[in-house]
Amino acid sequence: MFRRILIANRGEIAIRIIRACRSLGITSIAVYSEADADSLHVALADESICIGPPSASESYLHIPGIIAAAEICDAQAIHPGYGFLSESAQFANICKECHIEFIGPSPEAISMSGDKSVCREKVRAAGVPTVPGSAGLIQDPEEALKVANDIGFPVLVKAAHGGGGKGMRIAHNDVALQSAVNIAKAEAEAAFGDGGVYLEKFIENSRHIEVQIMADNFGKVVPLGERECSIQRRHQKLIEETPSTAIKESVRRNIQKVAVKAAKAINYTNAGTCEFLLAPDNSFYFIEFNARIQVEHPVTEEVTSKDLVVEQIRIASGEPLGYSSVKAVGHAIEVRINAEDTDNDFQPTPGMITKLHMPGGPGIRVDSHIFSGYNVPRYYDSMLAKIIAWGHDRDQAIERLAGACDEFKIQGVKTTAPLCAKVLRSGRFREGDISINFLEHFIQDLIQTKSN
Amino acid sequence: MEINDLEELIRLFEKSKLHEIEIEEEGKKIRLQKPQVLSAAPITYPVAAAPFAPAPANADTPAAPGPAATSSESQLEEGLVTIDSPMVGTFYAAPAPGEPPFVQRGDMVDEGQTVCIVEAMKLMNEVGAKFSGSIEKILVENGEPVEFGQPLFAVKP
Repeated sequence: MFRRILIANRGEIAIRIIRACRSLGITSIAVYSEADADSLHVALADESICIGPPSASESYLHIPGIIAAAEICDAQAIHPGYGFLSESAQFANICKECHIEFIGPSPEAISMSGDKSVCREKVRAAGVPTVPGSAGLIQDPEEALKVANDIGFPVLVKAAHGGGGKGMRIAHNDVALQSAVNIAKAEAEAAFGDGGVYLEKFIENSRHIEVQIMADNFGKVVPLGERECSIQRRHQKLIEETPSTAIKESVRRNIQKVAVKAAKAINYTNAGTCEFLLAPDNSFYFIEFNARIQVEHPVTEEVTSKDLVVEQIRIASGEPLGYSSVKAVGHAIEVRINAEDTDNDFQPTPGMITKLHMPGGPGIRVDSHIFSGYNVPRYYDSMLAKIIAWGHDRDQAIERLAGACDEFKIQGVKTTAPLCAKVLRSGRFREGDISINFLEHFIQDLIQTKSN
Repeated sequence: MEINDLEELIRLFEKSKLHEIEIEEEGKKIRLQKPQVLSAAPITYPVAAAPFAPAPANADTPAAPGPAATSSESQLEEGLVTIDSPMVGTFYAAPAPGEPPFVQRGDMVDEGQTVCIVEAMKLMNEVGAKFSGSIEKILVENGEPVEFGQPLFAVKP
């Protein structure tokens, strides 16, 4: 087991990892940019070291600085969290070469998952159902046209190296497709350094269902249930829950089996998530594999009572998984509290938090790095906190979480908490009548109602 | 322990990162120790200011620009400016082991002149003076780990 772990991240996930280290008796080492000198993750870690100026590219993404910090702090392992370098095969490789354990999958598995087109082909060859689409990258608009006519419009043009919901363009007809392909390629090149794009059929009213898997270094892969993440705005998740109201037990068993198959097909180890689209007729299709611990992992933890970050550390240190299946109890829902003005097109609102009250009580969990007096920096993402509620059933979880969102009070920045409370209390959400279009329509309805 | 074994042990020890090893076998004890390169004081990383202090009255106060000084450093004298480390790594005072240091106390330096090396991942990064002046104090020891923004030299411009 490791004695010293460096956390190559910030914010709430850095604190999450510090807590896991603490529970294992491992010394936690935080790295921080100058903008995060007063940050909570720095104060809570056992040791900390400044690695660069505020800009992420010169600090949290700066591989030489992070490796140098790990070496001079004598860290045996690095936990990359999510985002930043968590899915950089290059970083994982460099850790390997420097004899520092990367807490996550192998560089090869990261590469494979990172190329969504290649990954798709690989799992498809192993018998995993994938969204109908192109067999690999699209070379030109003519080829795109042919594929689109084969599978039927509308289609989605997707960047092979995209991530976090970015790098996708929808096209409803021949004319739109041409420009969609060209624009998507240019955007992909600019954003991800690789202009490769592929095509998938756009499934209307689909639901985003993902399966958490845990795999040790000895070939054992265990599914830990599914999460529904359909409440999204511009492909950014806002509310996630487990279990999904959409799927029957037979589909649940099946989708978990398929997720395990996909993980094995790409030789995956450590924590990972297999993403699917669920069509209205309950058929499901693989879309991509996320090679990292995810933001929404707490809902899985609450229903399975497993500590996923501790499991990650155990697996990385060479321990075998001690179980072959998990039992899920109850229902858990999470909301993301972001520093965004939901009345103003979700503009980010960095600034000083002058007053803060966090909710509590039975079944309420808060994962956050904010505190009264904290200056939310403008250099990084806008997430302030995750509030998770567990209930014996979905109704209780909804009640508890909506109440927690109401109880959450903050002054100095605007947040998504009030919007989340409204969504949770809405009739359609309570009935489980959700799809990936839910939030956009809900927000439009709110704007309509306001102007009337 | 045979002489060949001892030679092998010494060879392996020299190659390794260990500083000290003691082996006891059948009543005989052998201890190998490398000369200390790092400073004798335990490595402490400057801790950031406590976050639960009351919010500063001026909301525009930027985050603390760098680590607080360690207890061995005194407040900088008036008129002195520091050259800070541009990256995290290991401070080296000379271009290579055994060679004379880039600068000594009292030396005059020109803007851009190399004053030290900060090494990270086997890459030697030369640090240049941002302005000309005289080196009043050298604030770190050769081979000492340094973090981003850590003051390395106190210079009188």
